[in-house]
Amino acid sequence: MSVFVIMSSLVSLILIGTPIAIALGLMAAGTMWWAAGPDLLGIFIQRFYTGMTSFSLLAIPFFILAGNLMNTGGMTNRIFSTAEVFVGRVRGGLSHVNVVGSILFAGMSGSAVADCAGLGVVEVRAMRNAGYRPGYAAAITAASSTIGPVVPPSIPFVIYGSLANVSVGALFLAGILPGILMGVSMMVVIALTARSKGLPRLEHRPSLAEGTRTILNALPALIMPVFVVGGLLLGWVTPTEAAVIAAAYAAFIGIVVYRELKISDLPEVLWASGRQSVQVLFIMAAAAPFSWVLVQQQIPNAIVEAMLGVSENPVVILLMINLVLLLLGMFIEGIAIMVICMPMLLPVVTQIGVDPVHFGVIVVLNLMIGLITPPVGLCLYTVSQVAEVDLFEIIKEIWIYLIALLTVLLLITFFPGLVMWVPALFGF
Amino acid sequence: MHTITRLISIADAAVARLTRLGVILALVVLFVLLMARVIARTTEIPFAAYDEIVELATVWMTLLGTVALWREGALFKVEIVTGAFPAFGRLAEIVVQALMLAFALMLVIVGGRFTLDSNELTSFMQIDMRLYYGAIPVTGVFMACYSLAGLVRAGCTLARSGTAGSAERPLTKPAVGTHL
Repeated sequence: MSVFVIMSSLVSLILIGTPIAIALGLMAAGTMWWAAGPDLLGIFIQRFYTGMTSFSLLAIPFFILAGNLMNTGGMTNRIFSTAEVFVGRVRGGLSHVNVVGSILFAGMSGSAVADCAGLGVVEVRAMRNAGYRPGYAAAITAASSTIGPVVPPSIPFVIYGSLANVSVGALFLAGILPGILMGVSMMVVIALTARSKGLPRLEHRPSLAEGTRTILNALPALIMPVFVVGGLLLGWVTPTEAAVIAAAYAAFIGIVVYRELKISDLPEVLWASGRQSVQVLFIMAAAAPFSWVLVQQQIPNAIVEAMLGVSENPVVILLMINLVLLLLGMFIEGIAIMVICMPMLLPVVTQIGVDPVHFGVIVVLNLMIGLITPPVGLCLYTVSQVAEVDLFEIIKEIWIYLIALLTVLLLITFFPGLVMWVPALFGF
Repeated sequence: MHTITRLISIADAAVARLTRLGVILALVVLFVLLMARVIARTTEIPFAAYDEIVELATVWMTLLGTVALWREGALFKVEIVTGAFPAFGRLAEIVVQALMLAFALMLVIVGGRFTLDSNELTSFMQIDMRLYYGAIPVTGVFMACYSLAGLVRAGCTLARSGTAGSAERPLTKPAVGTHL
């Protein structure tokens, strides 16, 4: 069956509103039936089962759980207060606080949506009270939340690592510098536009004692990345175990240290986390037989030949891939894009000599940009809902941050060293 | 008729409670076992056997959770086209429910056959693999029931050509609680 038939049928199913996992599963089963009759469907079940039980994917529920526990357990407010101490005093200070807060939050949670739904509420409320326009406050909150899955830990990196068979530890390290660049690029935009937008300064300047107290109060939350990233780097834990430790630590801090998380809150947090995780895990289960079918039909080979027919220059091919991913990101959710496209794109980038770790960071940054581009931008909707700000007000303000993120995307595409330097330091 | 409706809603509430409880329980089991695994490694106690329980909990958590999402209509989907064209959306809903029913039936039939044919035991704890694979057809039955109900509902909505359903949805409604 040709690439065109499989992909156009899949896209049609998705566009008529078929759940993504079902569309992937039906395409896989349909192609198997077409190729070899109903007997081959046993392989579907086998692959479906294997896709569900991949050990590395078990990191997902626990990173989600850690994020939810942080939001319920009082860590989020303290992260915001700490960022305020560092960068709150300049013009447009709360915008900088928003970005720095997201970088700090990113070191603990791997989810942009968790950032929007937790930290985002605190940020938008504080900015509104300080006289910022709601649309602007929500826009910077949505934009800065995209740093979350690039700075380790990261749920998309866990998924990419599983799809591409790449070390999740190397991916986590590779995300550090691009994540910081994303934050810096947004802070540069804020600094350049602060005066023309008439952004206010914070009236209250915390004293040294106040600042120290705030930081010390947040310290238990701030040292969480040490457990996650440190444990991974030292080889003590796998990414899945690091996620479990992060969740346990977040629960401990929320219940024992900050005392804002009650035991009675736990069933609801567990249920919410389990529910969110299953949305990913079910897609991954259905993606496994779909990937098998693609390989059996030699579709990745056809894609490689087609793309290399256009150009053999790695930069040109990476730019083409960026364009495709950005366009898809405007309409389809990121994980679906990853599970559909990676089996086809990975052979292409391997062929042109691009490191799969470098490519992983490019892919995830593309998908993050997709989270804040209309019409289907999950972070736009989340912030719009939780902060009760009109969607179009956010879209009007967000374009300049999109440009900043696109600049970072081009930088990491053209200069692989920006991605690969940190992993190389640790021997990856 | 009234009794049947009542029985259906009691069964539906039971499934909602069961799936919620199952997911929470599986997540707690996974949490405890994976924490124990880290501790066991530092104390050099062999722990490989419990990986079999981890796999069992993962399978049941994923599939029971999927039943819950299936029941709520919360599986991740793209609604940009159906939201923009509500009349098409009502028609598409029937096709989607039929496709979901076909998928669920495949899980029941092929998964059921696969489970019954399996005579493996896990290597350490000697657990029958049918307990693992069986999650696929068992949960498939619930998925099929909900799709059948969804198909009937979508058919009635289309027949009435009323204003309910996708016409009231926002232009693009992202799925609840996604993870990126």
